[in-house]
Amino acid sequence: MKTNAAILLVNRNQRNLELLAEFLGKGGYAISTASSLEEFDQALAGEKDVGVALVDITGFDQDIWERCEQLRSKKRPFLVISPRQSVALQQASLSHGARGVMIKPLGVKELIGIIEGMLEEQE
Amino acid sequence: MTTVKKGASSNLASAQVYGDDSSHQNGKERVSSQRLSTGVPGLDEVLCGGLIPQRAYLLRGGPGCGKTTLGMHFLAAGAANEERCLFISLGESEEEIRQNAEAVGFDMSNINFLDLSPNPDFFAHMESYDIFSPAEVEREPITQKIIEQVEALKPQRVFLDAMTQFRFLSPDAFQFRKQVLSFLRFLIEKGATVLFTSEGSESAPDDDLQFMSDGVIHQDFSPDERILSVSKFRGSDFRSGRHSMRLTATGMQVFPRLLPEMYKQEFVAESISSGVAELDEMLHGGLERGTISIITGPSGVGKSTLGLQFMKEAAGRGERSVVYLFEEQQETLLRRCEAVNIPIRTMMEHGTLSVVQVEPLQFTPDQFANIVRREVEQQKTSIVMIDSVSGYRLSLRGDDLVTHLHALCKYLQNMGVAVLLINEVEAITGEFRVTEVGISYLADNIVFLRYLEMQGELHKAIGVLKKRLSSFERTVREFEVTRYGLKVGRPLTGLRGILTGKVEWIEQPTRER
Repeated sequence: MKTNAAILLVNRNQRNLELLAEFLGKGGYAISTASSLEEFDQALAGEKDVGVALVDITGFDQDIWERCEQLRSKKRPFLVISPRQSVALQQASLSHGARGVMIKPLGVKELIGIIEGMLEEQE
Repeated sequence: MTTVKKGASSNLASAQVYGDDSSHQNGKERVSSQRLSTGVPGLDEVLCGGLIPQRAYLLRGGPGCGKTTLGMHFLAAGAANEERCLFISLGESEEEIRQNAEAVGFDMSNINFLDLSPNPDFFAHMESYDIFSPAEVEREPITQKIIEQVEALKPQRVFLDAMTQFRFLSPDAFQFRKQVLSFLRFLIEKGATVLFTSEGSESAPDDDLQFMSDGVIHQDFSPDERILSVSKFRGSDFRSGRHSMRLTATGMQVFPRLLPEMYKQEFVAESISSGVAELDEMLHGGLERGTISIITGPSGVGKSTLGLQFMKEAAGRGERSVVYLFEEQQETLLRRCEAVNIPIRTMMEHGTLSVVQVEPLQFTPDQFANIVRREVEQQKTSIVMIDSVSGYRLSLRGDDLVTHLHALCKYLQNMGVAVLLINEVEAITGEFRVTEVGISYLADNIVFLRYLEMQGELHKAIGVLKKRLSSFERTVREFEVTRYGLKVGRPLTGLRGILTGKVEWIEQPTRER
């Protein structure tokens, strides 16, 4: 079930990245991280295959949607993580290709289940 | 005398209990054989000997109520007994706690710490997070640390400050309850007696924790006094009600509420003489032991002197008396007494009299009652005088002072002490009233002093209004305080209107109304 494709974690908060990497790492997934738009660009251009992505939009501006479009064009499924429930945000996320929006705090089990599903689909 | 030793065995009860622990009781309390001392003077008494080992107790109260101080007492008492003690802190850092404890004089050197408080890095190095709930992230490492420490140390006493922090580490109320119960059971199975605090407030109630613990101790703080009460103690009796508490430079002290029915001492209800033959005649022998006498009258009429006359006579028999002065300065009283042939300084030197000046607002009624109790139980005092009732009401902090005075008097009565309550009535003359504070129901005996105006001269008179244990003379006599002592004259039988203050001769019909 596990693929070589990495999960790209995009998050401005270093501690959030660490925790995500720690929990997902326990599941045996390959992880790559980005904490800024530049790093996001590098990850998109990089050699490492991005399987799925988790994009925490907290702290990013409108430019984040452009990167989301790139993920869509590469046919990489991704989830948007939002700090709050908002219809506008949900619409923006879905219109830029997100599979869904998750509201923080996330449940670890739930998150792993969804990622698992998306990776399976990738195969 | 029925003296029942409290159940705390010597190796467990490590700290001193306020007053003598071998209090006079009639053995009504159920006392388990093994108890752990809380280390707080007076609290063990409230708990009927101390905490039952290997149980979990909740300590609740708002900020500044003294929860941590009580916890330190609990651990220090264990450490002094060479028990293994563990302080688990989720709020304050170890360094802070040690500093505070040492400032109060606790020896924390043998107490182990598990500091789970957040370190400065959490703030400074962006260690805050929001991606997962704290329950997902922090519960496991914290639990792991606790398990490791407890397994390694096998503590006999654990103090956890504060359990409510775990609420943030549980996804919901059900999980919290389950986790706390399981955590407490884990500690208890490892042999620990657990004291844990909760930061309960209206917006974050801690009722669930109260259900889960084996005992609940509440600490409360009002502008007037600090209060401690116990609402639950599985497997034991406890002293109910609100007990006064003090946080001092040396820690905490609890003053158990006085429950008069718990104390009993056998005594002979004999009369004690005043040493003034005419007065004894009026009282048909004197005032009995174990009775409450109110000496009432206007200012300056000689009420205190009359009370001290009984004490002077008692001192002659080698008995000890104590006067609690709420109004007058001690020095004034001493001088006054010496001027009327009461050798008060000699009595004090011989230990047959103690004069205690009570400063205004210094004590709560419970604290005062404990002082009196210690005096009576340790010094075998036979006469106690409270000078005066209105002073008592003004000087002590808190409400419901008549009830407290009632309890104190009943206690003294049960202990066979003759109680003298000095009561001042404001009216110098005019319509007669026994007291103005509604305490006359308390009295077994009432002796009144009055000013009389007789043919333009001011005289004093003494009479007895009530005496429960014997008959008494129903006439009024002239009363005088001279430099040779008290003088009581012959019955004033030819007069009328003494109680109104306007005395008239019965033989002069023209002046009758």
